[in-house]
Amino acid sequence: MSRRRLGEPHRVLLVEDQFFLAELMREEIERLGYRVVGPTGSVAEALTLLSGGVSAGLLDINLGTELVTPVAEELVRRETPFGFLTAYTDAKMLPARFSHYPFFKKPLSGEELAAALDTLLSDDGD
Amino acid sequence: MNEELETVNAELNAKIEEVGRANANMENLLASTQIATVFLDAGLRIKGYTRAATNLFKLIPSDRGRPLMDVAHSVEVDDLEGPMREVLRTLEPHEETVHDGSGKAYSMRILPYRTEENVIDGVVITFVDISELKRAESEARRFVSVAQATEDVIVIVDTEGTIEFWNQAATETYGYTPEEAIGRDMARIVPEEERASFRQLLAEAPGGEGAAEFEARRTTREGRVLDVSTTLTIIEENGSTKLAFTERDVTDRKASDRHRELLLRELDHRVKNTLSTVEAIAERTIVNSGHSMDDFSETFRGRIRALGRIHKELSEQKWEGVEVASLVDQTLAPYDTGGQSSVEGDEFTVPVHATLPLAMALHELSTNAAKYGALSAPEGRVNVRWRIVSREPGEALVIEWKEEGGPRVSPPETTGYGMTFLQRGIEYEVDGTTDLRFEPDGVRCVMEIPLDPSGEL
Repeated sequence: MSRRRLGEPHRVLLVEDQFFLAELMREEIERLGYRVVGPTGSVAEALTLLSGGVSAGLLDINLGTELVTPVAEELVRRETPFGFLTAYTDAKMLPARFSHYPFFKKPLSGEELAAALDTLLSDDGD
Repeated sequence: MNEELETVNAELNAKIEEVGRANANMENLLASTQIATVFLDAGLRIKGYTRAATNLFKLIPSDRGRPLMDVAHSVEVDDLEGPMREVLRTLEPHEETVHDGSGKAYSMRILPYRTEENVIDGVVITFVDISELKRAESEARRFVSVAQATEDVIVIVDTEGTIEFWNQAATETYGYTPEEAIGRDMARIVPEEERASFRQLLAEAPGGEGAAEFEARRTTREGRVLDVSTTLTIIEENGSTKLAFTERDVTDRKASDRHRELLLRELDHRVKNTLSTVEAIAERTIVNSGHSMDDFSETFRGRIRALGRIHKELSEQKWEGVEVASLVDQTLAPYDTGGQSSVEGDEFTVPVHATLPLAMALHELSTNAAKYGALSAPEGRVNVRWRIVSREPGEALVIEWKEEGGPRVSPPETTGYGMTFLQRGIEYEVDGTTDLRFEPDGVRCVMEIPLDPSGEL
């Protein structure tokens, strides 16, 4: 659920444990006119950031020392659209209940990011 | 009187006929039986014998009336006469297993011979060929000793699951002795969640044939749950069905499989990260190197090479982490061609998740020093020291980078990508801290990396 006020940009939660990639994606997402919440590579920090409300989430699955699953669960509970950022084989580490959520293959180009966010936010109420 | 005689005569004839018939029956029986039998009188003289007896004793019809001990025979026994006399004396049957010259085994029985009037009038000696039985017995014994000695668990149950055979390996693996296992339900070693499928297996066994292989779990006497690989063989014998489970504990193999999976996962993550790092570095290096393609090429190659060296080191350490000294050396040495650096610190292995961020930070410090700092002038020095410090709730690795003797330093006007990473990468990726200062005497950088007390992946 979006808590966005009219005229404000969508807030996109970005969870990615890799600094280089996270920075690159943050810049791309901001260039597309969204506001980035994060980025962060930690589940605990992502959950804290989430409490401020976001319109969509992009979640890296394997955060090295943990899986992103708790963040995905919280977004499900909040009925917030989100998709997974996957690389190679890490998608199969996710519990099966997430298999029908969108998966975006990393690394995403600018256009791919734009398309991904369009898809996620098209169902948004406002 | 005459009449009376005739009656007696007729009765006698009837009796003779009856005896004749009985005799004929007996003759037929003696001729046809496979059991070697010799009838002897109280003096152990031959009264009669069956045809089968001629295989053991060289008997001919004229031997009737001769002492048996005078007849040549192939029964390998120390004393044949003694037991016969003993039976005559005690009237107790005698039984023993004997062999003939060809190695066939016989069960030899000596019984008192009773006349119609229940008078003991000699002995009957019989030989039953038990070679087949003996062979089967010794074969069974052989199989049982093999089954006992094998390292594989062998458990044989009936279709109710009642254990009939339980070998030594079963005792060692599952903890129950044969006495505790045999006669009990095998379900005892099947974990709750697999009981239903176990019962189904038992129920479906009759009529089934051949062998099936599958993985299962077993609970030991101590309550430990083991992963086993099982081969089930269905045995049909005399109309009843038995199930033979040949099992091997693969718990350790499973654990090493899991470890390998974990390693693969880690490796996958690292490879993915490396590729995206390369992509991100390329992207950022292009943006920041501005106009000069040479600049890009040099910076980019330096970063990729640093990554490559660390990966090589990680893979040599089987992805278990890299020694700090080695990590510093790998990143600093290529830029310290004049031996201007000194490193100092205890032996310590950097956890694998912190290796790359730390290496990238050290690489950026090294290239910066080579371009603008202490390594750009012959009299410059770089000192790298590290130590483990106590930080609630665990410990942290503190690395201090200190340059001196180089050109006077002023803070950079624009922040390049390397500096961005240096300032924020450690914090972002390993939740550590970086204190970077451009002091006039030289760059100083203190990095602190928290160490997970639980031991990192």
